Amino acid sequence: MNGLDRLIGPAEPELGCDECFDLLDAYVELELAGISASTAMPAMRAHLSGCPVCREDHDSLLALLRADPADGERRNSNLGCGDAVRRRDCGQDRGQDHRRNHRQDHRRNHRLEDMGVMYEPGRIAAVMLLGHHLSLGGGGLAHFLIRLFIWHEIWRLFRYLWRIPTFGPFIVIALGLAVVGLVVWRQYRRPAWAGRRRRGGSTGFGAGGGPRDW
Amino acid sequence: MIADPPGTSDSVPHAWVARLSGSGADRDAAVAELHALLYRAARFEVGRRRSQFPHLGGTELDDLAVQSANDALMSILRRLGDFRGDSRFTTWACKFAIVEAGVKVRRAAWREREVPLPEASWPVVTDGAPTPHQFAEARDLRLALQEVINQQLTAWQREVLVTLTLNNVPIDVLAERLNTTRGALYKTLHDARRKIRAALDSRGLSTEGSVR
Repeated sequence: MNGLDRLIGPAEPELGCDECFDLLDAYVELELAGISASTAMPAMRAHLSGCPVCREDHDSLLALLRADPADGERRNSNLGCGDAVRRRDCGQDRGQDHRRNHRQDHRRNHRLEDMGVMYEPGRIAAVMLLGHHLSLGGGGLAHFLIRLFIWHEIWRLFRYLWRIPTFGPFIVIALGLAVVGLVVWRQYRRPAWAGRRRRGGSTGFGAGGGPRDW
Repeated sequence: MIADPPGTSDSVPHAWVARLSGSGADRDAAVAELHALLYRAARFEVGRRRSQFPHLGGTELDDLAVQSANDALMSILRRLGDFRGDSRFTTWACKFAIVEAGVKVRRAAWREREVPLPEASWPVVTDGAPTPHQFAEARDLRLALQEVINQQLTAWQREVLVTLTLNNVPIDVLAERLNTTRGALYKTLHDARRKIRAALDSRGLSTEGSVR
């Protein structure tokens, strides 16, 4: 809608926002049924073209229903195919066509999840994975390799210390105890590096003002 | 999990109403199922809108979804008698959640922002008009619009029109700020638009998109 359209609005007779709300569900279901809702309810169409907020509400309800048109209760993508409601409905005698439609609905639901549904565990895992060493490319793989190298060097150092005659094992055990003690001590002193991710500075205390440069 | 009431389906849309109007454990179960449905619908709507309002945090958005579901549930229970069966009950119910969530997200997004009431952000006359003649027409149209809005509309109509259409303030946000209703504002907007259209027609000006 351009500036002039917003300014002068639709020329046709139109509903108000309250009437639009009253008829919104029926209008959207007509659209989903493939019936020309704008022909059946021209005043509603005119209002939706003149009121951006009602248009948003309409688009959202339509998107929600399109996520799963077969049943009102199953429309939300949070319901998986293992859900009892799905199984019951899919058990209805609708044959191969229904099962094919169901699979299409299921794929559509997952596309919908990709687009906007909040706080799906899978999406959270995917987002976390992007910053994880398992995410290939970018810093993820390099991060993993650097850490691998560092731990390898630490392992070599401890092996070298262990092999020092007589005192080697004692030195290694003492170092291990010191590390454990330091971890425990910093837990009580509210450290940042134990139990936190490396964000917001490298010192771990107070004003770590930004990400590390490398 | 949301399920139909026992022995009911979309072919019996009033079964939900019967359960919700009843009493006892069955009603409580129906209310809980309805709330779960509304929460998912509200979360869906908030999820759709979150990209438009990146400054709203995830916790705040989730709270908005919960509040929307609660308010939608109260509205539905209050207006059960309005359900005519023109659509599935769940469609009718989700409408409440969607609208509540949309209103709440928009209001939250505008909470810290000042609503620009008096000054208009006038649409720019396009300088990408194909010909100088069209550019001149667009400029004349804009000048005529300004004149009509300033001279033929009442102060209230002008304020509402400018704020909603030129400054792009959502109608429910403005309704809250002005302590009125969305429907009342839209009626004002409709009257103002009708005056403008009539004035432009009387001057023989085309209203085919020449401003943006």
